[in-house]
Formats: sequence, C-alpha cells, structure tokens
Amino acid sequence: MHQRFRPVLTMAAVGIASALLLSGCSTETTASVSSSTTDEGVAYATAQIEKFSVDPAFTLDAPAFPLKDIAGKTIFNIPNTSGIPFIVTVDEEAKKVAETYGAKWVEYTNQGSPTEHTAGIDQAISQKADVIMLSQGINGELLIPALQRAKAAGIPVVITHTYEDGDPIPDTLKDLVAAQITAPFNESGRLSADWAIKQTKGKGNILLINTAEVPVAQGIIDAMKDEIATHCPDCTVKDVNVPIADWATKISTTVQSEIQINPELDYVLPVFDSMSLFVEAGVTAAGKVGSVFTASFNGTPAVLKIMQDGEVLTMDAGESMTWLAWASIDQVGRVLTGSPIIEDGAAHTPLKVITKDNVDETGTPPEAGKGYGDAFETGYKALWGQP
Amino acid sequence: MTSATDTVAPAARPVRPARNLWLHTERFALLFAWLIVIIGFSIALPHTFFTVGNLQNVLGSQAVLLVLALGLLFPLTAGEFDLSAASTLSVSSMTVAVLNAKMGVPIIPSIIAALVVGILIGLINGIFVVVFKIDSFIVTLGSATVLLGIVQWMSNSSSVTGVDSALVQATVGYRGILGMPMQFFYGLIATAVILVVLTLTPIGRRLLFVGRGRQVAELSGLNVGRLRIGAFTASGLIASVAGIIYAGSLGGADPSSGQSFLLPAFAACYLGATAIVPGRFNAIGTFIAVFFLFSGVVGLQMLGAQNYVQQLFYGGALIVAVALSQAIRRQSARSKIS
Repeated sequence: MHQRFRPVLTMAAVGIASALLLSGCSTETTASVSSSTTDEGVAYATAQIEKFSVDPAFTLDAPAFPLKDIAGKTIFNIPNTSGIPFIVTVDEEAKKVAETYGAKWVEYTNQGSPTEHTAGIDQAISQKADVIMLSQGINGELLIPALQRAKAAGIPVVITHTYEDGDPIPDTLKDLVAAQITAPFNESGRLSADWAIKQTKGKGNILLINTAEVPVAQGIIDAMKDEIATHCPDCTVKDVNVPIADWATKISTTVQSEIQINPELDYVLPVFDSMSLFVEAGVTAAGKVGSVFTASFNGTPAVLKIMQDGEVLTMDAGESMTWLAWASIDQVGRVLTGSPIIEDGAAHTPLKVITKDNVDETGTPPEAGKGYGDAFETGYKALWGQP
Repeated sequence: MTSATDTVAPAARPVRPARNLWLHTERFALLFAWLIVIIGFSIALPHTFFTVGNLQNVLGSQAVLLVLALGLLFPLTAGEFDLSAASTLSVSSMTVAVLNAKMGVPIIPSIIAALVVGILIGLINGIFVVVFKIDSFIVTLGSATVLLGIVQWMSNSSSVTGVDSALVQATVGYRGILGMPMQFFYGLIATAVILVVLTLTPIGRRLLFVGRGRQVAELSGLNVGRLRIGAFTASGLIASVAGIIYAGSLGGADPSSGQSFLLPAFAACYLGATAIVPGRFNAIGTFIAVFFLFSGVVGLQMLGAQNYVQQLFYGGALIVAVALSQAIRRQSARSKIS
C-alpha cells in the first residue's frame, strides 16, 4: 500500500474506534470555580496543564486481592473492534498480564458490529468462559438479549473503558453487568480547552469538532464548552458536528470553510486525536500553518508522531494503553476471584498532557504505553501479589 | 456498465453424462467446501468448534445477513444492483426503534410502518431506474446516502434502545426448537419462499429473462419496466424485514452498523451463484454461502487468528470460488466437445 495512505487509514481506523466508544450519555463533569477575569482564567488553565504534564501517580485506593487465583480461569475478551491499533494494543497488554497470572485469554477478533458482539457472547457461553469482557466502547444496550443469555449461563460480564468516570452503568444493564472500568473522557475535553485558553492568553477564537453519534463525544464537547465559559470570558467558541463516516472527507473542508468565515480562528479542538490529521490538512490547505493550531485527546502513537513532525497539533491529552490494560485486569480479577470490586468502576486511569516539550518521552517514533512512567506497575503489583 | 447477471456465467443447459459429472462437481463444490471447513475446524478445535452450542451460534446468528442477501437476489436476477439495501435495513430497524421505544407506538404497528417504509424505498428506487432511465448503480448509491442521512436525523445520531421485549423474544429470545433462536427459522422460511418465487413461479422466470436480455424480454411481450420496479420493491421489502429482525436481535437500533452488511450480502449472493444452480443467483446457494463464510470466520476467531486473516478468508473465498467455478465450466465445455 502506498505510504501516504497509511496515516489516513490509521486515522479512519481509530475514527471507528471512537465510534466504538458507544456508551451511555455522559453527565456534565463538575465545573471548577469560575474565573472572573481573563488573567485568572489563564492562570487556572496554565496550572491545570502543568498539573497534568508530569508522569501520573498511582492513586487507586482499593483492597488487595490475590490475582494468582485467576489461574486456570478463562477470560473471553470481546473488543469493540479488532481493526483499531489502540484497542488491539490494550488487549495484547491485558492478555500478557492475564497469562502471567495463569489465566487463559480468548480474544474474539471482530470488525465492530453489534451482530458480531452478540455472536461473541454466544461463543463465550458455548466455550464456558469464566468471565466476558466487553472492551473499550461496546454499547451493551444493543446486546441485552445476549447479555441475558450470559447471565442465565452464570457468566459475569465486565465492561471496560466505555463510560465516563462517575457515570453509573445504565439502568438497563445494571442487572446484567457485574462490574465496569470507567475513564476520564470529559477531563480530556477540559484539558483541551485549558490548553487553548493558555496558548491564546485567554482570547481564543475556538472551533470544537464533535462527532455526535459517539455519546462520550457529546460529554467531551459539553466539558470543553463549560471549561471555556467558566475560565475564558473573552474567548469565543463555535462547534460543528462531523459524523464518523465523513471524517476523511468533511473535517478538512469544514476547517477550511470555518477559517474563511472566521479568519481570527486560533484553535480547532476535535474530540478525538484521530481527527487531527484531517484538521491539520485543512489548516495547511487554508495556508494557516503557524496561526491556527489544534489539540485533542487519546495519545494515539501515530498522532503523536504528527506532533513530532508538524506544527499544527500542539497538545494531546494521552491515555496510557498499558495502564488501561492493567486496570481492566484488576477489575476482571476481582470478579473472577470473588474479591471486592471497585464499585463505581473509577480505576483512576490518568491523562497526561503531551506537548512538543515532552512528546519525545513517548519514543521516536512514539510507542504505545511509553512516556507515562511506571507507577501503575508498582501500584498494581502491590495490590495483586506475585503470580 | 456491466449488468448484474452478466457477471456470472450462463445457467446450466441439458448436458451429456461426461459433462454431467463436472456440473455436479460445480453444483456441490461450495457445499463440500463448507463441510471441509466444518471438519477441518472440528478436528483443530474439538472442544470449542465441534459443539452443539457453537452450531447453534453459527446457524442462529446470521439471519439478518441471510435475509438481506436473499432480498438482493431479486434485483440481481433482473440485472440490477441495489446498493441501498443495507441503508433500507438501517431505516427499517430505526423506524421500529424510534416508533416503539421512543414514541410508544405498539410493536405491531411499528413493524408494519417499517415494512411500508421498505416498500416505498424500493418503489422509489425502481421508478427512478425505470421511468427516468438512470442506471440502478447510481440511483441506489444516491438513495443509500439519502437514507443514511434520514437514519441520522431520525435517531439524532444515537443508538435507540428499549424495543418491546416481544420482538426480542420473537427473534433471539425464545429458543424452543433445537435450541435455535427464532431468527434462524425466519431465515430458513425466507430462503424457501424466495427459492419458490424465483424458480417455480412465472414472476421468477420473467425476472430471469429480463436479467438475461432486457430487449429480448420486451420483444417477447413482458412488461419489463414493471418487473424491474417489482424487483426493487421486493428488495426494499425484504431488506426492511431484515431490519426488523436486526432491531429484534439487538433490542434496539443504531444508526451506522447496518452498513456493515452490504458487502457481505453481495459476497454471499455472488458466492452462492457458483453453487446449486451454477451461474444463476439462487436462494440455496446464497444460504450455503452465508454459513460457509461465517463458519470459516468463527473457526478463525476461535483459533485466535488476527482480524486481517478473517478478511483474507472472506475475500479470498469469494474470488477462489468464482475462479474455480469458471475453471470447472471450461473443463466441462472441453468434455462436451470431446
């Protein structure tokens, strides 16, 4: 395949990943105290960026349990789709940890449709799995009949990396799902907004790009708007929606059009970093490299490479894929061993602000899980004990 | 543009015994291939693949794809393409979900509304193709896109859940017969009905004449325009049935996943055209193709194969099957000459 198409396909793939973050509607995150002046807002945003720019600490406060007791058990993992490097990498890391502790890992590779997810649950039942993981964005509400069969077969189900921190499992799934692991999706939106506020010294002209069919995306957009409204009285903000299927064709042209309509535009904040390539293409086509910038969320290695190489993407609120994997195994291990679960699912998987200043810590070229420190390894091993 | 029926070889004619062997080989090759896949994976995975539970899983989960593919047989037989079938499925499932779960309309009227929507979509496609003389590829490509926009609008770009549990029970919930979900039997019934319509009724024969030679059919006195419109209407109606089953199997609807059925449905139709009645789109061949492909995918999944291996299998099986079919046909022709 021609080299120049690879990033586009990767973007499309991760785009689908975002699509796959089909989750229950996010609730508004708690807003901080309002900044009454521009200077206060900039100071607040700068402090937030600095706070999230260091290697994250392990802050999970949960009871220890013997993870070695999962030995001999079968974990049946159904990823949202196997076409997304982000998801595949998290699963591979989780598999490594599970197998280190003696569990059998079954990966149900699929292309992301609810029909396949349903068939996966039925496969897990016929293989008499000990636990089913619905990983990274599967909309369980479209699998209720299959989940009822899993429940009837006595197989617990764990949902990972799908709902916002603090959001409960939807009522329709409460009786069908044993536990979940949540993620700080909305916090990423606040960090993108903080970055734009800081970089524009509180006078930003900001365009938000939503992809509304992904429910967590709306939560992220709401968080961005709230952060800007709360801490940037002189900022102007506008949001547009681009469906996932149109990312490759519409984001670039939308950005160009918005720049034509509003020549003062400073920042474009797409909800997921996989959209950044198209934003960069639009900014470049409009001849605005150096005056229009972008920031986003995920920390996808291919996107971080764009940050290393280009000038348009200036910040990415990254998630450690390895950390996510360990957090998932922690909750699954609790379910499998009958240990106390993390009730609200908040595993405190962190975000790290990655900018031009520290992007090389993620590797050159960037690698999955690199650049976030190793606090989680020490922390989880202390909870789990030896294999 | 090449018509749908031109893409496969002519149907079988009365033949001599020597050629008969080749024809039988060709007719049942896909069935044998399916058996080989089942036997191969059963040997490799005796405790996971070769189980009753997995058999129920394989047979019980492909009704939506099967019904959608069966609907496509009508326009394909008539020499047309219907690229809007998957979008019609999406509109249908979303109609049921929005009416029933969001607006509180009882499930039966919601289902009827979805069927009416499917018929209307097919009718409009057919009218544009026949009356305005626009290539079906273009018309249905356009209508597919319009329909996707309508689905996004109806759903506010979000999944809609909470469809009446009666529909869930009627598709995947109740497993009384052989432990199979009811949707499997709907697929079976649809296969039987479409087999009868396409092979044993005058309409099926006329559609085939239209697909093989539109001008000849017109000169023979057939109402070609009406038949072509009917083929699109049938496709729309059956796609909407697939959408209703989809809504039942999910307990809701989502605005985007329906599209993922389009290419597999066409693949099943073309792969099915290499079997049973080689060279002709047919219901039993399509049935075998759907389950042959899915059996292979399930086996690969259980072996832990990467996603790309499944895609290689899916695409490769289609190309190899059609190529082998053609090779056998040539060999058959040589036998006839000799």
